[in-house]
Amino acid sequence: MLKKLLKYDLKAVFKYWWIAAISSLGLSALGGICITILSNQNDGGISPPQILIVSAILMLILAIIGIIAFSLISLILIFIRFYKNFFSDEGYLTFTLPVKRTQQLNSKIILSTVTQICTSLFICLNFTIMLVIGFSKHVFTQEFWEKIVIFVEELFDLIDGYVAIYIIEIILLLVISMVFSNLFIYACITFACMITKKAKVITAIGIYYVANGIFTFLLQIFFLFSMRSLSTLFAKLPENSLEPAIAILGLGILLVLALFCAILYTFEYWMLDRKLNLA
Amino acid sequence: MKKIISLIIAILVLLSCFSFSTFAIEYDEQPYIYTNYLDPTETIIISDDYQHLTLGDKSYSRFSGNDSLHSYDELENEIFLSPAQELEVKNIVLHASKNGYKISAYIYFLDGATLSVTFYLDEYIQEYERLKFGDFEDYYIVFQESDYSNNSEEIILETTKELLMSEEVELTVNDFLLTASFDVCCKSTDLNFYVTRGSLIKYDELYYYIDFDNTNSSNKELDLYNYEGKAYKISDPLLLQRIEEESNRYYGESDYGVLFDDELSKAISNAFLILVFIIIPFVIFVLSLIFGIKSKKVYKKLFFTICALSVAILITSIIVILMVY
Repeated sequence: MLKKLLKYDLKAVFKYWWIAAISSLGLSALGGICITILSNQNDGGISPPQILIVSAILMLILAIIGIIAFSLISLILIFIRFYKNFFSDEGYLTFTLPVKRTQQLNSKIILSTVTQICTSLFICLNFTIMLVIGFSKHVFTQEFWEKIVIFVEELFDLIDGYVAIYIIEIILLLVISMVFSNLFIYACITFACMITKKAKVITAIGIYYVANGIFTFLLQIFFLFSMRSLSTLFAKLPENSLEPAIAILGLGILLVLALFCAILYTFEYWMLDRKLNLA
Repeated sequence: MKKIISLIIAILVLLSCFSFSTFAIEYDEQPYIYTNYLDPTETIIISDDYQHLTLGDKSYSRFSGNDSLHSYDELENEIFLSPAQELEVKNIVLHASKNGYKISAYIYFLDGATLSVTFYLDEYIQEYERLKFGDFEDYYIVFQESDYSNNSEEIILETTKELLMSEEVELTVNDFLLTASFDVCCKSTDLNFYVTRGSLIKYDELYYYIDFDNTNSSNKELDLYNYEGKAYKISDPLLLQRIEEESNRYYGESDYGVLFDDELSKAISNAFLILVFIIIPFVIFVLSLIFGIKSKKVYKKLFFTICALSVAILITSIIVILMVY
C-alpha cells in the first residue's frame, strides 16, 4: 500500500513540479546567453551598446530569481500536498483508507526527500547549463576537457579509506538533515491544525518561525561553548587516531540527527493518531 | 482578487530588478577621480619580451615581490608599442599602485590570449632584495596596515631581533592549537614599505616566531598549519604584553567576552559537551525505555528505536573519550 500511496503523492506533486523545472531550464539558458554578452564586454574588445548590457544584467537577475523561485515552488508543493492530503476535506478520505498511519507518514517523508533531491540535482544542472553557455568559448576546447579528465583522475586518487567514509557520511548527513527539516515543518503544520480550526496555515508558519528560532538559538549556544573544547580534544589525539576520530565524530553527528528525526517522527505520529480532529 | 495579487507581485519583482540595474548604471557612471601619481605626460614603453617597462626616466622590471598595499589607479599614459607588438597586441590596461612602485599590466592579444604581468620599480626591487636577505636589528610585527581598508588604523609593533629570537625551540604545529598568525617584517624607511621575514604565531596560548630563513622551502612560502622545525619562543614579558594588547586591538575582545576568564570558559565548554553527548542521550534512553515498555504496537517500536539511537550515541561518545584519554 505504501507504493500506491507514494505513486499518487508523486503524481500530485510532479504534475506541477515539471512545469517549474522546465521553466527554470529555459531561464538558465537565457542566463547563459546574458553571461556571454557580459563577458564579451569585459574582454577588452568592442563594447556592446549600453542598453544591451542593462538588459543582459536584468535578464541574468531574472534567471537567478527564477531558479531560486523553482526551489521555493518545489518546497511549497510538498507542504501543500501534506496539508491538503491530511488536513483539508481530502483528509476525511485519506484517513478512511485501509492504510496504516505510519505508511501515510512514510509516504509523505519519502515524497519530500525524493522531490528535494530531484530539485537539488536540477538546480545543479541549471547552473551548469548557465555556465557552459556563458563560458562556451573556454568550455568547448580540448584543453578544458583534458583539465577535467586530470581533475577527475586526481580526485579518484584522493579517495581512499577515510576519505570515502567522510564522503558517505556527508551524503548521509545531507539526506538525514533533509528528512529532519521536512519532519520539522510537518510537525509544525500538524500542531497548528491540532490547536486551531481557522487560519491553520498562518498559525503553522508562526509556530515554525518560533520553533526554528528556539532551535537555532540552542544550536548557536552549542557551537559557541563546545567548539573550543572539541578542537582542544582533537589536538590531544595522537596523529594516527585523528582520521578515525573525525569519522566517529561524523557518525556521532549522524546519530544525533537521526535521534532528533526519530523523536519528531514519534511526536508527529502521536499527533496524527491521537489528536487529529477533522470535524 | 488572486489575479490582482499575482499581478502586483510580478510588478514588484520587475521593479526591484529594474532598480538593481539602474543602481548598476549609476554606480558605473559615478565620476571617477583618476589621480595619477605618475607623470601622465610620459609615454610608457614595454619591451617586446614583456619583461621590462619604462615610464619616462623610471625603469620597471617583472618581479614576483609582495606588495601588500592594494590601492590602484588606472593609468592614462600613452603606451608606445613597437612594430612587433602592434601585430599581436589588441589592448593593454595598466594599473599603478598609489606609491608608483608597482604597475600591473593586462595585455590582451589579437588571438584571444591574455597576459598579466606585474612590473616593479628597479629601485624597489633592489631595496626588496636587501630587506629580504639582509641582517637587521629592527623588526616590525604587522597586525594591520593603514591602506588595507579605507579607514583602518595602522597597528604595527616595533621590536628587535634580540627579543624575537631569544629562545630557540623545535616546534611541530598541530593546526587545532594554532589560533593566530601575524607577519613580521623589516622596513624600508626610504621607500616606506615592509618586507615579510617571518611569522609570529599564537600556538597553544604561547607566542612563537618562525623565521623564513629557517624553513626548507626554496621560495619562502610557509604552510604554518603543517610546520615542523625551528622556532623562537617569545619569553620577554614586556613584548608579550605589547603583543597581547595589539592583538586584542586587532581581534577585539577574546572569544568568550568579558564574562568568563579562560579556565571558567573551558570548564563550561567541557560541561556543555558532556551534557549534550552523555547526559541528554542517557536521559532520553531512560525515558524512551520506560515509555517503550509501557506502550503497545507502533509506539513500542518507535520508543525502542529512540532508545537504540541514544545507546548508539552514548557508545560513540565513550569511544571518543577513550581515544583521547
